[in-house]
Parts: sequence; C-alpha cells; structure tokens
Amino acid sequence: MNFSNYYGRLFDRIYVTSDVTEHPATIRATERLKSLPLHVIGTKKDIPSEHRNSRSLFVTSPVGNTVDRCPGTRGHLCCNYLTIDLYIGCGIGCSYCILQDYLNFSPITVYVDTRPVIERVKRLARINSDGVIRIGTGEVGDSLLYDPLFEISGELVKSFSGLDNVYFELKTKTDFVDHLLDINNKGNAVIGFSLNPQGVVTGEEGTAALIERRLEAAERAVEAGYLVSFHFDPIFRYDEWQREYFDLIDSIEERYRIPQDKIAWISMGTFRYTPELKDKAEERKIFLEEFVPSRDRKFRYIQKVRSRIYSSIRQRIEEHYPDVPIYMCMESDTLWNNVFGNNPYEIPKLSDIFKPVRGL
Amino acid sequence: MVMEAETKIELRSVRELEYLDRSLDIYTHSRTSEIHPDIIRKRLYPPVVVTDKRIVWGFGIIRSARHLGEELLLCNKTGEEGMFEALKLSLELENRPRKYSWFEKVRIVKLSSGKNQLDEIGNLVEGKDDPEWYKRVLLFESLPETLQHLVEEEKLDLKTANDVKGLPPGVFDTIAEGKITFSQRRIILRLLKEIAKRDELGDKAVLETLKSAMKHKDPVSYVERLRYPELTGMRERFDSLYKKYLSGSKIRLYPPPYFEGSDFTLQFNFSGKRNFEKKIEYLEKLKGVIDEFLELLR
Ligand code: SF4
Repeated sequence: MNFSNYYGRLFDRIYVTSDVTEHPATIRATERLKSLPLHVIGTKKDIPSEHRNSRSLFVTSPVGNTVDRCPGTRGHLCCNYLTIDLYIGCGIGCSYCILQDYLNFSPITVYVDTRPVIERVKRLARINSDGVIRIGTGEVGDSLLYDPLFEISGELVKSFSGLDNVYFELKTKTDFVDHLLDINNKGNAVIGFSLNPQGVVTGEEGTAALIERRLEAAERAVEAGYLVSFHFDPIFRYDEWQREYFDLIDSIEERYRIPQDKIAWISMGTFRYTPELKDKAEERKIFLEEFVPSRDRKFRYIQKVRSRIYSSIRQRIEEHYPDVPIYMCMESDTLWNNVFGNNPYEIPKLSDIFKPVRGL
Repeated sequence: MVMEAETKIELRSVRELEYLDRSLDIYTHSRTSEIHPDIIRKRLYPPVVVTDKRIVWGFGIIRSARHLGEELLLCNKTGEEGMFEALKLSLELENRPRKYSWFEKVRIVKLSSGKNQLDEIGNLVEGKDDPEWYKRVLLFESLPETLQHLVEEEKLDLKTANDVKGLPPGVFDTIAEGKITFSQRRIILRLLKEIAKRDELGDKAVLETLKSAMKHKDPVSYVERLRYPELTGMRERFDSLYKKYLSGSKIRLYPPPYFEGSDFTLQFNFSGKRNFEKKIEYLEKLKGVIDEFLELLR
C-alpha cells in the first residue's frame, strides 16, 4: 500500500500528544505520513479550532473508559456487545453516518496506547469465564480504515488470542485486511464486513470498498484463519430492494469460499436515523421512504415493513447458512417476536452471545 | 482616529424624496400606519436620513407624510461615508427593536459593512445581542420574492421557507391564496417538497398536486396520504375495522402511536350490569377477530 498517496489525501496535518510520540504505532504512522506537517501538543485543546475537523489526524492516549457497553438504544433490545474506542471518526463519508451527528468538528482521533484496554478485557474475560464476550472497535469509526497506518488492531488480536471466551471483532467497510493475515495467534478474532448491494454502496457509502472487494477480503481472512461476520446494516428499502439483497446473500455462498463454520454471526439492521441527521441529509432520496419515530427518537421504517424486511432477509440467509447465529441490531422486543417468534435471550443459537457481561 | 462624517439637518419636500428613491414602497413595516399624525405634523420624528443619491432611512415617515398631505420633512443629509452612523442614530431614536420588517432588516444589513457594524447595530434591531441575526436576514434575502412576502406577512416561518425554496414559484402563490392555517401551510409545503423529490415530479406536476390538495376538503390529509401511503392505509384499515366491529359500542380502541410497538389500548365506561354485559358482548365478538387488528403490527 502506498501510504503517503492514500492517507496523504485524507489528511492535511497530524497532531500528536507528547505522551505518545515514542509509541511504536505513532512512529509507524508518522513515518508513513512523512509528507504531512506534524505538531506535538499537550492536549486536544491545543489544536486550533480551524483544524478540529476530519482533515486532521490526532494521535493520543485514551482517557476514561476505553471499554464500554455498546450504547444500545432506549426501548430496544441490547445485544450486550462491548466497544473499544480506538479509531474515533471516519473519513469514508457514508451519507447515513450517525457519526456526522456525534463527532462534528473533531479530528480523526487514534488512541495508540492499548495497554489499558488489554488489561481491562483480560479482567472481564476472567470475570465472565462462564460466558462469551463480544467486543469490537467499529462503533465510533471504521475498525480498519486507518489500521494499515498504525497497525494497532493486530496487537489487540494477538493479546486477546489466548482468551477463549473473547470474540474480538474488527468491523469494516474496507478491504484492508492484508496487514492482519500473517498474525500467528488469532484466537477468536472476527473480521466483520458491512454489506449492502453495490448500488447502495455506490450511492450512499462514500469511499467504501466495492462489495466484491470486501467479500474477497473476507475470503482472504477466512483462508488466513480468521472468523468473519457480516452486517446487513443499514438495510434500505427501495423498489428493487428484495431482489438486490437476495442476490447479494446468494452470491456470498455461490462465489466466495466462506464456509458456514467460519461465520461467527450475521446481523441485520434496517436504516434508522436521528432527526438531526435528517436535517443534514434531507435532500437524499433514502430519507423519503415512510419513516416513523421510535421510542429512542430515531426514525425507522414502519414496524410492519421492518418485520417483512427482516423476515425475508433472515429466511434467505438461513437457506444458505442454517447454523449461523443471525440477530437484529437495535430492535424492539415486538420485532423480535414478529421475526424470530421469541426474544434473543430465549433463542439457543443467540442466548450465549446476548448474555449480559458482568464487571463493567 | 474616528472621522466624524459631516451631516446637515434640513427641510426637504416629500415629492423630491419620492423622486429620489424608487424603493420607497418596498421598505414597509407593520407600524407605518401607526405613526401618530402629530408626530409627523409637529416634526417629532427622527430626521429622514438622505444622501445625494438615496434615502437611507425613514421610509415609514415619508409614507406617513405623503398620506397626511405634509409637504416638507425634516432630513438629515449625510455623505455616503456617514450613512451607517446616521442610520444607527435613527434606529436609536426610533427605539423599536424586534419590530422591523424583514425588508427593513435587509436594508439595514446592506447599509452596514463588516461584522463589527452588524454586531453594533444588531441590538437595536433585535433587542438583544445575537451574533447570528444578520445571517437570518441574508437567508431571507436569498428567498424567491413570493416566499419573502409569505415570511414578511408571517404566513410562513423563515426555516420552512428556506427548506422549500426549491419548489416551483407558482406553488407559493397558490398556497398564499389558500385559506389554511400557518401550521397547515408549513406541513403542506414540507410534504410537497418530499413528494416532489421522491417521485421526481416536474414543476407542472408539483403545482397540479398542490392545486388538487387545495381543492380537497382537508388539504393536509390529502398531501399526507401521498407522502405516507402505507401509514395512511394502515390508519384507514384500523378505522374500518373499528367501524365494522365496535361502531356504536362506545368502546374506545387505540393502536400504539404510528403502529410501532405491541400494545393496543382499550377503554370503556359502563353503568349498571346490563350496560356492562353489553360491553362484554362487544369484546367477545372482538376476540374472534382480534387478529385482524394485531395484523397491523406484524
Ligand atoms: S464507514 Fe461507518 S463510521 Fe465510517 S462513515 Fe460509514 S457509517 Fe460512518
């Protein structure tokens, strides 16, 4: 990968706090971006306001809770996923990205010092030795977009590899997996790919990788010994939605060597948005379907419509992968009953991964 | 060093002023006609600010004088470089914050140069420190003329006007003529915009849609049905089921808001045993068909 070409186009400058200038990940990244001006600063406050945007890369050490519960959402069932803040912010630029709302006026932030995270996860693994912990870095940014620069995810994969009950997931819309393939001990690491029909990707997912490239990357990851996961999220409804999603689902088994026992889980989530996001992206057609407000203030397709979408996608996936756990992200118990006939805590394939984590 | 611009107080004829500036009638404000005749007759108003080329401020006073048949008006003649200071003085003397029309505010913004002057004068216009005030004025100025008038006449808010300004201009004339409330106007325009975008309607089709809506007995529901056909269909289905099974029962049945969730709410009052039994009969009947209602949530 030609780093200065690719990432040089994404950033105009780098800010590094003085406590991490000597960190190997900082050195790797700054070496690879030699052409960009580098400023060493005390704290984030030292970044001039005109540079507090996604054209600035801010490298620092984590503050506060670096491992937390996925925020879930009011009135919706939580899948008890844990999140690690590692890369905060994202330059892919999806039109529907909720981060636009949360992270406006922030530089792309990278927490290079992973020691506190590793310690915390090891402790949680001990406390929850009777259950499974799912944890990932893709909540507030793409897990792998900036990872070839810093190579931090590999450190985490190695560190968690000995923890049998920890499934560490890297969620991405890129195909940047090659720097992770040679790691010897992968444990239960999962590389998660967000999937949408190519038309949606082209129209709504900014500079994300083509679907074909993501699935080829999934194939390489499986070949190298990783588990993979797929996230049909957000699912959009449009004239041809069903045919296009079905074609995509069919193509995974038909065209790529990804056996079902290598798929850790598959999630589904229909498109949802905050009122603030709508204000920003109002001109886009995807917001002009029929949406209604849910209990968490987000807008979603009408419940009956969501039930139909989820049921048909679930059925199609199960035709190919009957044993893979499939779940819905941020959905209500009514929807669980409509689509699965039960709540996830009572579904044997899902109860393990939905079990609440203790010790946080 | 601040240069004091040269100013001169003099009497000028109203006709001459009318001739000087053709924009006289644009800068209306709601209180024009309320200027007390004595204020004009006794010359108790802030002098009209003029330069050699234009009237800077005092349009309402000129109009009132014209209306009262006054021939001469007190004017403050200044050079172009002294316009801002003279304007500020006039606004101070007028002391009518929050009462300026949008068109007047456009004039004020145009006569102020740079952020400092806009901040300085903002308080006189809005009655409070509001660093963003002139941005709203510029937004107003960017609207098509018909929309400007709707906002000026308080028939539409600025935000909605700005949101819907891409609709064909004929739409605004049609909506202005309709006898509908402020909030109905907002809803109709917003929904119309979304329908136009979703269905990729041309200008003519948008206008036709609005005209049909305005002819309808309930224009808002007409447009809502076009924008939310599925949801409206569900509401209608619910209403027809209710009518079929519970009409006349005085039992109230509510679906969850937007058919989102799992709980229907049932309410009834009863008086005496016979009446109670009657309600139970209705509910018994409902039991057999309840799936038809539940289907709306699945
Ligand atoms: S990849 Fe994810 S984080 Fe990045 S812009 Fe798209 S939705 Fe947002």
